[in-house]
Amino acid sequence: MRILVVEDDPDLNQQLCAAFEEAGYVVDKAFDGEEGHFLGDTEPYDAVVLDIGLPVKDGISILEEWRREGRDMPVLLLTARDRWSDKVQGIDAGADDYVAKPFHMEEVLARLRALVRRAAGHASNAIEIGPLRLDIGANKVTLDGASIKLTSHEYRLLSYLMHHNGKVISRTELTEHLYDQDFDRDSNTIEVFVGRLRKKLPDGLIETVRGLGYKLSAE
Amino acid sequence: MTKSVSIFTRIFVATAICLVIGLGATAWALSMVYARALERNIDNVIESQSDQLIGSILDEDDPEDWAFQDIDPRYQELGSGWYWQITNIEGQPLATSQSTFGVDVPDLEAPFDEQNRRRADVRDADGILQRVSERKLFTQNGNYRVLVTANWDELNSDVALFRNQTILALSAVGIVLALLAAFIARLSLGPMKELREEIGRVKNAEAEQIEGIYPHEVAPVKNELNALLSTNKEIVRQAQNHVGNLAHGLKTPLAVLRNEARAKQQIESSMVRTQLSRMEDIVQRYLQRAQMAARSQLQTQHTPLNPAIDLLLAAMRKIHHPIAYHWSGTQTERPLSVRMDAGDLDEVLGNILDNAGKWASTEVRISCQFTGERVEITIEDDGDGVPHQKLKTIAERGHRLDESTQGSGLGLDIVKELVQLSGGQVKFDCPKDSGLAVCLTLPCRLG
Repeated sequence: MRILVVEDDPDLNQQLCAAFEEAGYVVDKAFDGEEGHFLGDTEPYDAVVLDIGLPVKDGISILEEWRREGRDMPVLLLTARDRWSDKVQGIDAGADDYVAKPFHMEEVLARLRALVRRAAGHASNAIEIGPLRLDIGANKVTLDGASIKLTSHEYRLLSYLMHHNGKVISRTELTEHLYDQDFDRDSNTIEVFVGRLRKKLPDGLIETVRGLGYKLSAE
Repeated sequence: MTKSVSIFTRIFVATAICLVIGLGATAWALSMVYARALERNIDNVIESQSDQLIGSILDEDDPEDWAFQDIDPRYQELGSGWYWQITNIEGQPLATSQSTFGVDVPDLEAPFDEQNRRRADVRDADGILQRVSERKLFTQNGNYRVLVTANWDELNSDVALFRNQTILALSAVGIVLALLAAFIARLSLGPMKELREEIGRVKNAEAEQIEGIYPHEVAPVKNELNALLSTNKEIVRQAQNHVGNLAHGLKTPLAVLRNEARAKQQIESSMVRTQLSRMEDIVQRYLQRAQMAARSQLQTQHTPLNPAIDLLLAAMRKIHHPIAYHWSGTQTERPLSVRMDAGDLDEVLGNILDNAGKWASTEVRISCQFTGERVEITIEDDGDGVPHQKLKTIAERGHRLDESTQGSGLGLDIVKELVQLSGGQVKFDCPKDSGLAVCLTLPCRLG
């Protein structure tokens, strides 16, 4: 899952990025409104954490522009102004949720997870596909009730496939959502990780759709 | 400081004093003129009577043939104080008026002048003040003294009567004029009264500015006051903005510090966390205080209820997905507006709706009842509700019923304060022993 963090305070930005990375997300960062708007407009993110008070261009304007341009990724607003009139204004502009500063990092993480999950069409915090179960809150995958040991890259790949189960996901999409913008898109690491995952999972769970990509299916 | 006398009293008292002096002087002057006129008249009567008597003496040589005429009928009235008497030069009476019968005509002690006349005001034996005029007459047949009197007391009592009647009439005029002055003063001070009432409305937060059209003497005062009010409001607004900016500005570093303390799970960081919580609480509290102060300045705004709830519900449905929020509108002919600033209404409803969304199992129901001057909004969730014994403490500052969910415990406390400030009420209830029902009663109007 690839997240964009737009926050002008370098320390807070760094803390948010560290916490998201620790939780298994791939994170891109921006420090002002213009950079944030550009990244959100050009890269495919699974969610954006957006501060309202930003230099160059404020968060609400960025959000409105994204929505006008048809960018529909879930957006979590960070705001120091926590009156309901401010929150309603943010949500009316297209935000999906808000967190008021100063916040507990756990809360931001919980809300972000919920947004990503909801955007993928899942109602609960656990996604089950056949014998596989992904506990989003705990970053844990179990197979028939037994925990599977996964590296962070493997976890991200499986988590993305499970969030979008039943859909064919192209290699490009996987690369875009599992690696940050500096990643070399031509490398074949996706194939390598898919191969490793297949060894840890029952046969046929990850299907290869020739010429199109991969599909996770319990059938 | 002693209380200053009102302008009305000043105008009334000053007018009354002027009226008393003016009318008093008028009464005195009129009495004087009347007295002078009477005096001249009486003197004329005396002179004419003298001339008449002298004429009769000169007409006939023999005193037996003298025939006298009275100028005034009072010379025939016994003891009237109007007498005449003709004596020889030694003073022995030869003839008298009919009124002189049995009366001692007063003697004059003053000497005769060059024209053989003398006059004086003398009180007679009966105590009547008389004007006495005496002339010496020298004829071929003999020498005489002709004495004529007039009742001066009558003149005095006439003048007194006139004076009394004048005072009475002028007093009536004075009272009418004083009432008129009071009426004019009231009329003139009308704009001042209106201004005072308008200032009262501003003070009671029923109006932002002094309204109305005033005469050009008062209009500058109104304009200056309005300018002062605007300046004051702007200063307060700026001060609140600064407090707000300061508090909001502190929130980002606080967030950084809190996360840093969380990241470093060392023993000393628990102290850091405690202090951070305190700082956050202080920032939040003073921010609220500044906002409350701003609110208490003015409670004149009305905010349409339907659009406010609709916007909030759109947000709630996103935030608390998949909880269903049911709301059928105010059901009134005209739009219903609540007497509350738009931001405050959002804050009150937002906090309650957010709470309901947090605790609901599947749905939140919002209903409303309009009772003429008030609207009762009920927000019910289908969650587990609150134990009855805890309902009373639900809206206390910093009190949290469930520590496991996010929140500062300030939400319902803010709701309570804002609702009370607007003159409304908030009640918490668990009607079916499940789910919390929050009942808001707010002042409102149609349109």
